[in-house]
Amino acid sequence: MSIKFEKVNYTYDIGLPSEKVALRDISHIFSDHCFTALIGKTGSGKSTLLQHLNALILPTSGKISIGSYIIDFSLEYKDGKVDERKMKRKRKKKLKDIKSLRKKVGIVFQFPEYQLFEETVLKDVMFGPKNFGKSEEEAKKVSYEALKQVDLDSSYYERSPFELSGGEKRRVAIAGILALEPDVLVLDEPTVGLDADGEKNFLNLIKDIYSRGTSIILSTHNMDLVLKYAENALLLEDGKIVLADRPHVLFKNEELLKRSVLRKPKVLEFADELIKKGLPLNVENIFDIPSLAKEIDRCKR
Amino acid sequence: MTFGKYNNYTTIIHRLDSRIKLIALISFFVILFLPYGTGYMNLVFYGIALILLFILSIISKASFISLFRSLKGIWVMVLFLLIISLLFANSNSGDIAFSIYELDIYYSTIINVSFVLLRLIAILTASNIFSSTTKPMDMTYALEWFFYPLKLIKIPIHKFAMAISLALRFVPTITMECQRVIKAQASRGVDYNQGRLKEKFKALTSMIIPLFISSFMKSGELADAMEARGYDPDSKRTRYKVYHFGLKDVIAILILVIILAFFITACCFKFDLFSYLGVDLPKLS
Ligand SMILES: Nc1ncnc2c1ncn2[C@@H]1O[C@H](COP(=O)(O)OP(=O)(O)OP(=O)(O)O)[C@@H](O)[C@H]1O
Ligand SMILES: [Mg+2]
Repeated sequence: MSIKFEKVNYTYDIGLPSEKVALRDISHIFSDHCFTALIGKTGSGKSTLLQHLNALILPTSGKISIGSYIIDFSLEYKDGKVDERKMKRKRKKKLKDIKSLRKKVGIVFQFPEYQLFEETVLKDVMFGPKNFGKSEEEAKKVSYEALKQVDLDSSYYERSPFELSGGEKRRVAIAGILALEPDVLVLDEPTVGLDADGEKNFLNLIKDIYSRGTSIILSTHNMDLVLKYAENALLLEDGKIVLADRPHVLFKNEELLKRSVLRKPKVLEFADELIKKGLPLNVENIFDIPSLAKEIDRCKR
Repeated sequence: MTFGKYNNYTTIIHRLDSRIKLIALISFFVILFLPYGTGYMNLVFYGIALILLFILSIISKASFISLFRSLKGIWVMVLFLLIISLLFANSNSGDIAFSIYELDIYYSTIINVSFVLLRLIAILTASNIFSSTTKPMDMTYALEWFFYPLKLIKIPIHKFAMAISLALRFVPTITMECQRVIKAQASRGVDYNQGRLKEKFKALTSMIIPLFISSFMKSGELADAMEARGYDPDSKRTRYKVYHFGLKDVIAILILVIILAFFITACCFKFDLFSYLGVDLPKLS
């Protein structure tokens, strides 16, 4: 399922002193099976954009097509000016069957542990699938599956989610979204607050889910992650997309990196040093430490 | 901007001592509930109070829009009041204003409904001015000050005041938290608007429980943080901001006293302006 943004704008608190334009003229296509990383300074609009992906936030203007689901608030003109009346009518119309959309696109928020509420871990994970019309049995099945995916031992299933540690809670919450079996999995800064092992396991899980056909769209400040896993990097700056390309293209653009206070991944910095020393490395082949080693090996031969 | 939210201007009203503002608020409530003689005189005096409040609103830049927005729902109430007083009021006497089919509408009913309405608008306006010009912290300070006598009978006023100011401080935080939880649960297929009663109940619990949990956690963390910085509930408090009674405060008190005196005098003498001027108004009873 591909997701298409056309000239999407979003403003918080319109007409109030705290009015804030968060997205400006966003046009982008998230292709059918993509792994896209959203990056940018804090406050650049990443979270805002992500929430558009399943209509938790509706655009102030613009059109979003999510598979066959279309939210069309594109501007209407009359005599060269925006036709406010027509726009108002458009916004008034109720969105139909928003649940079907939410089933296809699942969002894991930053600190998702705050959404837990059931008595047991298993029940909490089952809550989502049951909301989307699965029977008790089916819900149980997908929930077991999801809990296994996030590496939670079955001894946890009957415990209260509130007795768990932060990282364990996070895993339960993520399982709660995975159990929906969404076509597109959206994650807002998913690795913040996980320990090193937890982060590694989690990223492997994401990669796994991706390889099974689910699209992944996530926001992150972790550039190593972007280089290693993402196919596409989307750089936001003050609500505008300034770059949408492969991570390597981004990391070559020193000026952009500097402007958005982004750090190059360590492996690339190391590769740059080696190149300076005269090793003819091909940066495009480097994603992480093993691939760097392989590239060095290739040069030596 | 929502009704009664503090707005960050620096008008003279904003800079007034919060204790004076609180007294003024209470005074206006008193003024609005004093009887001034006949129904017509009530209307006149409530009208005067309302005009005063509107002037204050303009001076303090309190948002009219939010006020009127909150008044929108009032029409339902007016209708309700009208029906109630038509059906039940034993004050249905005096001259008849007009009749709809068989139903007689008396002048007294109209007057009654309109001064209830005036009162309501005036109360809302006054509260709006007070809360949009007074920081929550200053409000609690004023409350604490007025309840000071209770300290003599060993009631820990400052603890209550601290609790109130913390509660006020957390309103926006919890609102934000609430929106976050709603969004998270909406992603899990919760629909807060549709569904049968049982589903709605479930939807509500899915919002309330996480809110409670995070509020408890936050309050625990806050208590720890306060203790870590040496907060001792029993020690004597000093203030970060010390209030000095200035010239403007004295003037404000004077004006307030004059206004109060005017209304109280009017209430005592129950002077009927209309009969004095010889204006012939429909009889109310
Ligand atoms: N609920 C809100 N009300 C008003 N303004 C908001 C709200 N949420 C975000 N904003 C503003 O919109 C802008 C974009 O916010 P957003 O949360 O999308 O940033 P972000 O890129 O996700 O940042 P971070 O990396 O810190 O998560 C910010 O300037 C922020 O101040
Ligand atoms: Mg964010």
